[in-house]
Formats: sequence, structure tokens, C-alpha cells
Amino acid sequence: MHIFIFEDGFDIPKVQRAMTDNSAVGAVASFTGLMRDVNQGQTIQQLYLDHYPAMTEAVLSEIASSASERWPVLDVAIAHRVGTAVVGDVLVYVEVRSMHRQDAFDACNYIMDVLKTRAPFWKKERTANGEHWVEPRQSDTEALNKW
Amino acid sequence: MRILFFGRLSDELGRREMHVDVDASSINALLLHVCETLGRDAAASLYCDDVSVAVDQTLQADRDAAVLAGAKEVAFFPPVTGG
Repeated sequence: MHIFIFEDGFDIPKVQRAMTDNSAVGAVASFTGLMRDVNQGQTIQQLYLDHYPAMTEAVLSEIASSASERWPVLDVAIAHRVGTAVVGDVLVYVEVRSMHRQDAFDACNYIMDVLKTRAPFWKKERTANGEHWVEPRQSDTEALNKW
Repeated sequence: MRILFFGRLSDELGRREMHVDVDASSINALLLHVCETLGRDAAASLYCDDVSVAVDQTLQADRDAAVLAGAKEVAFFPPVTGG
């Protein structure tokens, strides 16, 4: 299990190098979240990601452990960006390795759903009209119901 | 005790952290002291229904429970929006 917080840029190869290359691995599923140029109809110029450093790693570890208890995964990595990001930047990367694909897909999906509602990150967007903190989406909370 | 504010609260309160020296046993008792120090606008922000509280990095749902004995850090924050 591997947790990364990137303050300056995102290094996906570094995350992948940390993962087990155990010969039992038959499936690798990953999710990469990027910064979009438009959110809720507004053009986003820049994004600032605040977080609670003392709590972030612990919560991400708990989420990875929870996924490992639910599915027979062989390794899990969760990486998240903090600080200032621009359009196209990677904001989050999750990778799960397991023997079979469905476990890797499901664990990856679960991790993202839980991360969106539990991990202590806060986004602040800059638009032509100024800056504002992003409000949580009801759909993110509802997504948890399927687990 | 170190008090931390994240997300929109850091902007609304104009600070990310403060230190208090108060003998409060519950979060609500601590809030009274913090709001006395920061003023009425701070109360509107900190008593907002969607604000969560973590004591030494553990979320606390009961603001009247005696959870502050020996606590070093209390954090207030709005709903998370990462990912």
C-alpha cells in the first residue's frame, strides 16, 4: 500500500515503480483524474488544492486498507496533488493490482468514491470572475451508496 | 491547544490557525471561547451545519462529548472536495 502527496507536479511513474511486481498480479486497474477547463459552466483558469497534512495520509491509508479488506488485492496506491494546478494537470491517481480484473476495477472505483467524500482536500477555483471554493456534489455522496 | 481552519473557513476567518489556552472539555465549550476571540462573523462560519471537527486528526460527531482532555489539535473544515 502506497500513499503519495505531490506538491509540485505529479509523478505517476514514481507511483508505479513503488507497486509490487509480484508474479501473481494478473490485473492492473488505474484511475487518473485531471483538472478540467470548465466546471459547472465556468471556465477555470487555475485551481488551488488545500489539504490537512496531518490527517491526509492517515485517511488515504484507511481508504486503501478498507479496499484491501473488501477485495483480494495485491497492492494499492493512492496519490493526490496539492497546491496550485492548471488545466490538464493530474490531480489524483489510483492504482490497484490484483489477480483478477473485476477486483481491481471494483477496488479502484470504491477508492475514488470514498476519497471524494472523506479525504481532507478542498478545491478553490480561479475564474475570470474571481476565486471561489468548490462546493461538494450530491452525486459524490450518492455514489457511496453502491458500496 | 492548536486550532486549525481549512477550505473556505480559512478565508472566512482570515487565518489558517490560532492557539488558545483554555480549559474546555468539549468542542462546544471550545467553540464558545474561539468565537469570543474571533467575533460574531466567526460564529456564523464555525456553527454552520456542514462544518466538521477533528480532534487530533480524528473526526468527532458529538460536540458536547468530553473529547478534548489531552488534545493538542482541533481542526474545523467544510465538506471535502478532493479527487
